Amino acid sequence: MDPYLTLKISPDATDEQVRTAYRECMREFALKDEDELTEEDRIKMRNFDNAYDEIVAQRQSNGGYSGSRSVDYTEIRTQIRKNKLNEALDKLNSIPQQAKNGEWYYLQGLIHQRKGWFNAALENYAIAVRLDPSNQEYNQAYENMSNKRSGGYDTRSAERQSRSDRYDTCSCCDICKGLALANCICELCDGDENYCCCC
Amino acid sequence: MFGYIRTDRPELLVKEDTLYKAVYCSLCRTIGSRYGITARLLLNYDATFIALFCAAINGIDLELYKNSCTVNKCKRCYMCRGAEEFENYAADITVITAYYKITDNIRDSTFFKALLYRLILLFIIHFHNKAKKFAPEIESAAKLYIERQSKTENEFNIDPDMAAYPTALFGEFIFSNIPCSCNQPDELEYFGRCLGRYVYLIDAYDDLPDDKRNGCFNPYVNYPEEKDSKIAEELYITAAMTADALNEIKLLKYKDIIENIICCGMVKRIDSIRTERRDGSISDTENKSGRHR
Repeated sequence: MDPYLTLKISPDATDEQVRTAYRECMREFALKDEDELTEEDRIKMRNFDNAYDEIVAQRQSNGGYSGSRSVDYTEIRTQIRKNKLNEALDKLNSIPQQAKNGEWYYLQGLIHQRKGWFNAALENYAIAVRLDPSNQEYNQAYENMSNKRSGGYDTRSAERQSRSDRYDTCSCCDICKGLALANCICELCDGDENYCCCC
Repeated sequence: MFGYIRTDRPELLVKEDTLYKAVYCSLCRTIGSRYGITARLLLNYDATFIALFCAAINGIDLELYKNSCTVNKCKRCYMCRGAEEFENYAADITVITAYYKITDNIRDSTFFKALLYRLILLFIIHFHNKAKKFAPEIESAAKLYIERQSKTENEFNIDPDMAAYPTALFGEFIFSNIPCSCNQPDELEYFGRCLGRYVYLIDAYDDLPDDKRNGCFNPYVNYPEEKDSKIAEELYITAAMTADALNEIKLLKYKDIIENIICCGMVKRIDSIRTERRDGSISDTENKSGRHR
């Protein structure tokens, strides 16, 4: 099926319009949990992914981008490290659509993360992982954020976690056991059968 | 908008809880002496966090002493010395943000509620005029970000990232301008952005049913009602990323209390709103089916 028809856009659509249409198509599935997705939903999602990838690949092969395919992202990484996020974003947006690969989406995700746009960051990391599934850096960035969804992620320092765990393991049974043992020890020392005052 | 940055009390040591309350009580006294007795009503836990964070990052050893409560003279409470500069900073932020919050509420409320807010504003204007002289840079930043926030909320197709950004930038401003001798500007800015985003989004989550009913702006209004868990997931991610941002900052003192607020307190707030929402929807379902709880 024609990829433009799948994403419901015209072949003259700009790269930004293609991307927006893809996001709109995927939005209804993004709101569902993993176990709520039916087989039909998964097929539709695969079709949208394939249509988007096909359009990107077509434009890459037809495109007039005459420069080198391997864009130097080192400078952008340096700018992100120095917290010059707006400059990094401008440089990233100046790269034509045809050259946007996993690295591009990963760096955009990183910029969005530092800006505090966590939803957009997660989306960009997901696309980077999809375009380059073997890249450990992209996978780590995606999992690092995705694992925090459940709310059970304990971000306290290790010292504080262990202190909390120590108190959590002291139950009523532990207290009774402790008292019974103390009573036995007191009997041994004192010699009579009465409970001593410390119990 | 206020009161979402609080401790998870069961996880605090007694000495930590005492110190936290002492900062709160000292801040109450500072606001009263700086602005006036009725200004104390504006006190909130967010300002307490800011004052304590400033002391923590500067490594100030707060000295506790017993004093009588400024509101109830018969009650004895702990207060602290050593954080006057930070308390002034937190007090100025409290008054200025309260003023702009009330003006924002007037715009978004029905006629009678707006009338009540205008009455409250009559009291706050006097404090706000004082705050403008004490902290002109905070005043101009707050004015700028409130205007930017209302401009953003009037645009179409706003997702939570864009909606929360102006408040995130105000958070960045607050934490990058704290009276501080440390050299961690980038880390403080990022932490401020994360915290500002959290405050905006959890307020939106809490107000969602009212905003839907009254037709007010809310970035989550288009999320389906049964997808409450998706909104909670976004909030959990924000809370966890804020905690990661805190770990990048070097705190010289009171790390335990600050960690309790950021790593435990934030998640606890989200959980309590979720539980309320769930209990509310269960009771609605039972009422509709004719059974009583």
